[in-house]
Amino acid sequence: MLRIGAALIALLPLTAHAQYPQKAVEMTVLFGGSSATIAQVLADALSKELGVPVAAVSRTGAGGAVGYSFVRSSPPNGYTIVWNSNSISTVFHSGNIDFDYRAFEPVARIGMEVPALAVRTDSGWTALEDFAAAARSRRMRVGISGRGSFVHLVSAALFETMGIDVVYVPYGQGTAPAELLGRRVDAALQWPSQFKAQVDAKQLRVLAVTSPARIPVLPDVPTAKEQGFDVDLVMWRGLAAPRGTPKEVVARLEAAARRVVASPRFKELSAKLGFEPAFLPASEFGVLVARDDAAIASLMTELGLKKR
Amino acid sequence: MIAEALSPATLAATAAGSVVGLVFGAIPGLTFSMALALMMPFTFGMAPVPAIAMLFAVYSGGMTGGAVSAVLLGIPGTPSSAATVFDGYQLARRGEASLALGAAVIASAFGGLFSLLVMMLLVEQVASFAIRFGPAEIFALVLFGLSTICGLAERSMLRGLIAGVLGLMVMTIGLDEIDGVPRLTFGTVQLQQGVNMLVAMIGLFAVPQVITTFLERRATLSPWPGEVTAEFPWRRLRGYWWLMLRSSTIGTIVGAIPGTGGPIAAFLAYDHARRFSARPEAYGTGELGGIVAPESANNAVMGGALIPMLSLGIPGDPATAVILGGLLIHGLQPGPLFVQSNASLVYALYLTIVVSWVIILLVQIWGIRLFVRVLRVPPHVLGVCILVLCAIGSYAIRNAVFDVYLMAIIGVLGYLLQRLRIPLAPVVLGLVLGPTLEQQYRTALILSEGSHRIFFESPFAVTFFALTAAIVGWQIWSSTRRRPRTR
Amino acid sequence: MRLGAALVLIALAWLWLVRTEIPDAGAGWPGPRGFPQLLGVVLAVLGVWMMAAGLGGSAARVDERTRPTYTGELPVAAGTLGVLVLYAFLLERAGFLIATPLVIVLAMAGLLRLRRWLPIVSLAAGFTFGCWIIFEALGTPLPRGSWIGW
Repeated sequence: MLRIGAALIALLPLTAHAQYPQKAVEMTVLFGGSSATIAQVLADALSKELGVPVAAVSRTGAGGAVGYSFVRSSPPNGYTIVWNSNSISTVFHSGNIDFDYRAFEPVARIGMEVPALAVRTDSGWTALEDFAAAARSRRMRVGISGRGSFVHLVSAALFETMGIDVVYVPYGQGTAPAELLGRRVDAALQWPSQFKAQVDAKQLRVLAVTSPARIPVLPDVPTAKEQGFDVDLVMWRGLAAPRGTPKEVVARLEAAARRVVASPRFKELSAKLGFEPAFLPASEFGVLVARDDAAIASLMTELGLKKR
Repeated sequence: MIAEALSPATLAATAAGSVVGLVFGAIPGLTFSMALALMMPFTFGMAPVPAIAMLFAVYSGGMTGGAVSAVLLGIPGTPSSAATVFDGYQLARRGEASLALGAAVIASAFGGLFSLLVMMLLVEQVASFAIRFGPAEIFALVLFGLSTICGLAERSMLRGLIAGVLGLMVMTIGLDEIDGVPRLTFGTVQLQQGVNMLVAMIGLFAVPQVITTFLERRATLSPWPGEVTAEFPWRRLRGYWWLMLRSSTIGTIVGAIPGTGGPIAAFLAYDHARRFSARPEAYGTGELGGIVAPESANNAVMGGALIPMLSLGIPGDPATAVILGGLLIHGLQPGPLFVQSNASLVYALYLTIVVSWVIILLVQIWGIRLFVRVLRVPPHVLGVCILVLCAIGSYAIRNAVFDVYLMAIIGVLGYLLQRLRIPLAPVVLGLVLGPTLEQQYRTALILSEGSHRIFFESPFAVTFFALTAAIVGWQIWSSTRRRPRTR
Repeated sequence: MRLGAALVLIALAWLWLVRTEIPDAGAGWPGPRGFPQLLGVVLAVLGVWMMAAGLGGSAARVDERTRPTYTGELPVAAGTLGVLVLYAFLLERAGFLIATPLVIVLAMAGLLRLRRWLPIVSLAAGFTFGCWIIFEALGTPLPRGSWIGW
């Protein structure tokens, strides 16, 4: 009923100088799974902040290319925003879209997700060095998401630093942890939330995370850097709007996002989903996006994955 | 905690979830996965038991609802109900829509409750069995599923094979998930997301049938029996309980294997039913077993898929991934320790699943009288409405107008195939199995670093290869014997 | 016979497209090309099989289950495609609430040659409104159209 009401209100003609927002905001979500759940939590909180419905609309597929293309071609009025991530860089450099991060106005970084490398507990490996030593006598199989995905890049960077050569096995639908349990791969590089249950049950062990500092979800797990392998690769997640969205609209969204991320409720739900809230304002977020894009570009060039 | 499963709040949440699921399932293009995602925000503020109960109810309601449009309109409401169309729609055309719908809902409830029982009694055993299915084993299983083309081919095996290959071809379009390269996308972004299975199904099932209805109208033929009975003959289901049990087992096992899912289970069960039927030739013309088998299997998938999700914390398909999110939001982390350490909560959740099935049964059986009224609408008028519904359903799947164009083109191509006497059922089977078949095959070869030995080192895989070979061999043998009469 | 030849041509065109439109990821066989290539070859073989069967003369026999032929089949099939394509076009631009009644009226009057305007118009309006209410209530927004922009 509420939705019908909102839809009817949305039908009313708008005056040109009305203050943003006047109608429902649509937030495009590019992927399913945990990223979509946290997007819904965010949308729900944002709609309370903005006073209009914020709908998390899923436009998945093609590594984010579909959703990015849709948002880019939408009118830059702040009513279409995108729940974006480093995928804007991976999808551009793999040659699947013909525009890059500059097609969007950064709004705010919402948080981070840190890749984690897990092995079975019965493997006996307790640190990256053990894994590296074992990998020198036998080629290891490492479960990742698809080729050219962010976790693939991260694992490539990690293993290159460790000086070992592995077989990357791509799994869709987040089944890599199951394959690890089924003993078909020796390790898997995925998101911590996917390993959490098995780590608690002592069936899997996370050897390292690739962030500069330890993460709250897995406080006992050392970073790769602590273990002497200098890798700093973290997936950011944030909000962006099509290029040309008015400054005051971006500022309004940014302020709302700031309050949401600071709220205890959002922090609590994020912790449960294994997501790490980390707000960055638009200007700093923009710098981060550009810096990450350059890093991803050079990484993909090294791997021979860069097509553009 | 157990009492909470029967509290007014939980009952209300379960009822709401079941009904929303049913509505989403029954509208072609709106699927239970979408319903789950849309109901998610409502669960944020709820207590854990009603919240999770609502998500479970949406799942089972949605899976069941898919059969409604499969039977009445001849369009699968969700990909999992595609196999139900073959016989369900034929029964509806014979004026026995209420029988078909009744059988579907009872088989669904049976499948759902059977898999719940398996989940309660054998969680760990099934989970450790399912985890042994890696890419090589899943490939073998899906290849076995593909051999069912022989059964769906109607009269000519050759035409059936052609249809199957065409279906497989369509699904290779789009961004290749393994290597991340675009395939046959002609530089467009829209084609990168590939052809959505449900969009293709809507086009293939609905458009040829609407065109035929229009032609019949112009030729002033009335294809529909004037009246639709709304009685519900329980007796006709006698003799199908054993089939329901076997199909539910298929569904539970397939559901428990991460990376497979409802559509594959439904087709495997359909073929199983036909193969072991006393009258295999009746399948496709309105045989009750052709509804009972896929419907009990696709609903059993739910319990099956919940097994690795609850006991390992690993979602097997997108729908269980959403449910996993719902559990996590409420601070519940499924995994090896989950069932023991949260026993009372888990049993409360099991109880809510039973409640949701009771509600679904009541709503559906009562609703059948209402649903069959759709068939009183003159077919050509219904045809126009179906066209509109197909278009907006295709749009809603991915919020893309592009999919409406795609549905229209695939639909008209489907009509052309039908006119060339190429059966459409194997095309649909190709759509369902194609992506899994290719992906698992390639993943297996990456695992083995290019060696095909991986397929012959696994006893499961070898078993399924042997079954596939046996079926194909038997089919060739029997078709050469028939050759003098038909081709 | 002719169908077999057409299939062989389709298969060859497909194989050519696979070579030009699927990049070789350099991962060896099967890679992204392997499966589509295999399908193309299988379709070609099936086409040849069909041609061979046709030469044998057995396919010349008319299938007794051939459906009745209707007059005006091509215009109706093409018209249905046209209506759907027009609908998709209008959905994107004019939005659901305008496109739907127009298309229903067009299908009823154009394709089915119905001339009782009152039922046609009331069906168009009623069905449009009903769908709109249901989809909005379910939280799955229908296209609003770029021309009007609400």
